[in-house]
Amino acid sequence: MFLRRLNRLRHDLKVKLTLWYTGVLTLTLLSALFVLYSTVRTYFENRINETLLTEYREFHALFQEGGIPAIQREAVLESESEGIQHVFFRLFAPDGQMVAHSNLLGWRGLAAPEAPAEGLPDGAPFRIETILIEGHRHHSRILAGRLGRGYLMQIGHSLKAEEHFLRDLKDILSGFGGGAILVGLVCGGLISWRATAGINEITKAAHIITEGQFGTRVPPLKLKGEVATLAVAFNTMLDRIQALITSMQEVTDNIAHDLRSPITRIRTAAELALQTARDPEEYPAVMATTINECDRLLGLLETMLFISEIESGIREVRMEDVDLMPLLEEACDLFQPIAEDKHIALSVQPHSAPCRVRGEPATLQRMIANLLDNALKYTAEGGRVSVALKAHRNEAVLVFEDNGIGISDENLPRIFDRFYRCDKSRPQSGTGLGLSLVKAVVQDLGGNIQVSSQYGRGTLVTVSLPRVRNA
Amino acid sequence: MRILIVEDDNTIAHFIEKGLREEGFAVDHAINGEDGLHMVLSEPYDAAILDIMLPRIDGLTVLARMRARGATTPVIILSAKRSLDDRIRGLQSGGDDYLTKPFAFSELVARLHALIRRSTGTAEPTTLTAADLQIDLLTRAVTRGTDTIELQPKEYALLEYLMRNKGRVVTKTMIIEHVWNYNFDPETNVVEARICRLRDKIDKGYDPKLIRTIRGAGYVLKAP
Repeated sequence: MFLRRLNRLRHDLKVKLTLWYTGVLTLTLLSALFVLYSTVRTYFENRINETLLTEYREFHALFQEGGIPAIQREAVLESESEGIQHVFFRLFAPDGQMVAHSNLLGWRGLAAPEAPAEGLPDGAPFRIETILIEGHRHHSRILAGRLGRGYLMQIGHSLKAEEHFLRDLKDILSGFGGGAILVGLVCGGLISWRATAGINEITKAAHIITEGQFGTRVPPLKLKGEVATLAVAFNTMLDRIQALITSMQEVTDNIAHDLRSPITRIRTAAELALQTARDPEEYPAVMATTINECDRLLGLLETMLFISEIESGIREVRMEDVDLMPLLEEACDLFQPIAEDKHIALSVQPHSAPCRVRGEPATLQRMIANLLDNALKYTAEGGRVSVALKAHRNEAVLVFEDNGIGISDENLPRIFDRFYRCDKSRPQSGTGLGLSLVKAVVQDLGGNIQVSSQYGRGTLVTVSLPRVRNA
Repeated sequence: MRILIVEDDNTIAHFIEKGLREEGFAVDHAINGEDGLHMVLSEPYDAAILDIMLPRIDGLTVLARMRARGATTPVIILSAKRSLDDRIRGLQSGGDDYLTKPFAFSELVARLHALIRRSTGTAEPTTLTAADLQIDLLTRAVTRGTDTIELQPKEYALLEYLMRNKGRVVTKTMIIEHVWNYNFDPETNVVEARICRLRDKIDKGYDPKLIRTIRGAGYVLKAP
C-alpha cells in the first residue's frame, strides 16, 4: 500500500518537477561551495609554504655567517615573537644530535627526523610535509632543509589557526548550503504545485465529461500562462464538440422526421388502397404516389451522402478547369420555363471572356441549379431574378439576386443548416438540403458564400470561387 | 431478342424478368456467377444484365473471363456500388454500361435497347416519325401533318430523345441527364415545365395526342 503510493508519487509531475529542481539547485550550490573551500585551503597552504621557505633561507644564511650559536639565538627569538606554541626550530648535526632548538614546550611528542640529511629525496635541498604529531589535535606543516656540512634544519608551523578557520568556514558553508537546498525544495514544490494546479482542474473536468456530463467546463483559472491557455483551448474544444453533438442530434432528428414522413405517406396510401376493393383506375395513382415518394427518399439519401462525402473529404472527384458561363447559361435555360410559368423575369448578365474555376462540372452545375432553384422558389409571381458572373483578379464571383420574399433576420443565420426550412408549414417545398450542399461545395473548392437579405424585399447571394488564371 | 440476367436477388431478378418479357424480350436467369458465365458462353444472347456481388464468381470476374474467351455480348452492369471508382472498374473490366440500384425499370429498358442497337450496328435513321409527327435528324426540321413546327434547341433535343425512345417510358432523370447533361434532379420539376411547353407546340390542336404522362414513372411518346 505504502509502496504503491510511493510508486505513484514517483510518477507525479509535481514531485518530479520538485525533485529535479532541488537536485539541480543542490548540485550547483555544492560545486560552488566546494570550489570556494578549496580555494581558501590552497591559499593557506601556499602562504605557509612561503613563510617556511623564507625562514629556511634566513637560517641558511645565518648558519653560513654565525654557525650554530647564531641559529640558537635566532630560533629562540623568532619562536618567542611568533609564539612557541605556534612555531619551532631545530638544528641537527650530521650524527643526528640536536644541536640547537627553540622552546619546544608546546611540541611534546615531536620525533627526531629519521636519517637527518640523507632523508631528503635525491639531494633536494629541502622537503615540506604535513604531519600529525602524536597527542596533538591539529596538523603541522614541517620543513626539513640542509644548511651545509651535513647539518639539517627543521622548521615547523602549527596549522591550528588555519584548521580552525577552515572548520568554521565549512560549518558556515554547510549551514548555508543546507538552508539554501531546503528553501529550494520548498520553492520548487510551490512552483510545481502552482504550475500543475491548472492541469489537475482540466483533468478533473475531463473525467467528469468522460462520465457523460458534456456541460462541464474547466473553471476560469486565476493563473496566467500556458496552463490558462490550455484551459481556454480545452474549453473552446469542448464548446465545439458540444455544438457538433447538438447539430448532429438535430440532424438525426430531422433525418428521422424527413424519412418518416414519406414512408408514412407510402404506407398509408398502400394500406388505403388495399382496405376495400377499388376502381382499377385508382390503383395507378397509388403506385405513382409510391414511386414519387420513393424517388424523394432516394434523392434525400443521395443528397445527404453527397454533402457528407464532400464535407468529410472522402469524395473522389475528377477536378478540371471549368468555365462558369456555359454552366450558368445552361442552368438558366433549364429553369426558364419555371420562371415563365411564374412570370418571373430571369436574366443572365453574361461575362464575355472565359472565367474558369477548378472543380467538378457536375458538382458546380448542382451548386448553380440549387441557388437558381431557391431564387425562383422564393420569388413571387411577377418578380425578378437576375444572375451575373463577374471575374475579379483572383476570384470568379457568381451573384444571384432576387426581389422575392427574403429571409428574416432570425432565419438568416440558420439557412445553411441541414434540413433547415424557413417556412416550416411547407415541409414539401424541398429537402432543406439545398443550401447545405451549396455551402459544402463552395467551402470544398476554397470559396466563400455570402447571403444578405431583407425580409419582404429580396435576397442577394454572392459566391466567390478561386479563379484559374491564364489556363 | 434474348437477354440473360445474372442476379442473386430473386425478387429483383423476377421483376426484371417479368418486365422484360412484357417488353417482348426472351429472358433467362442465372443466380450465381458460375452459372452466368457458363450460360453467356454457351448461348447467343443479345445482351446480359450482370450484378457485381454474386455468389461463387463475382460479376467483374465473370466479365473478365467471358471477354477473355472472346464473348462480345453487350453487358449492362447493375450494381448497388455507386462510387466513381466502381463505375470505372466495371467499364474497364469489359462492361458496356453501368446502372446503379435502385433504378427505374424504364431506364434499364432504354439502355438495353440502346446497347443492342449499338452492338448490332443498326443503320442510323435520318428521320423519326410517330403518327403524323416527323423530325428530320439532319436538318432538325419538325413537322406535324403539313405544319412546320418551330422548336427551341432544348425542346428539339427533348423531342428527339422521346422519339428515339418511341413507345417506351422515359423518366425525368433520364430526360434531364440526356437533354441537359445533369446527373441529378433539381428540387423543382423543371422537366414537367419543359414537357408542358413541348406539348403546347406539337400536341395542342392536333390529334392524336402523342406525349403522355405516365404517373410516377415518366413520359412516353406513343402513336396509338
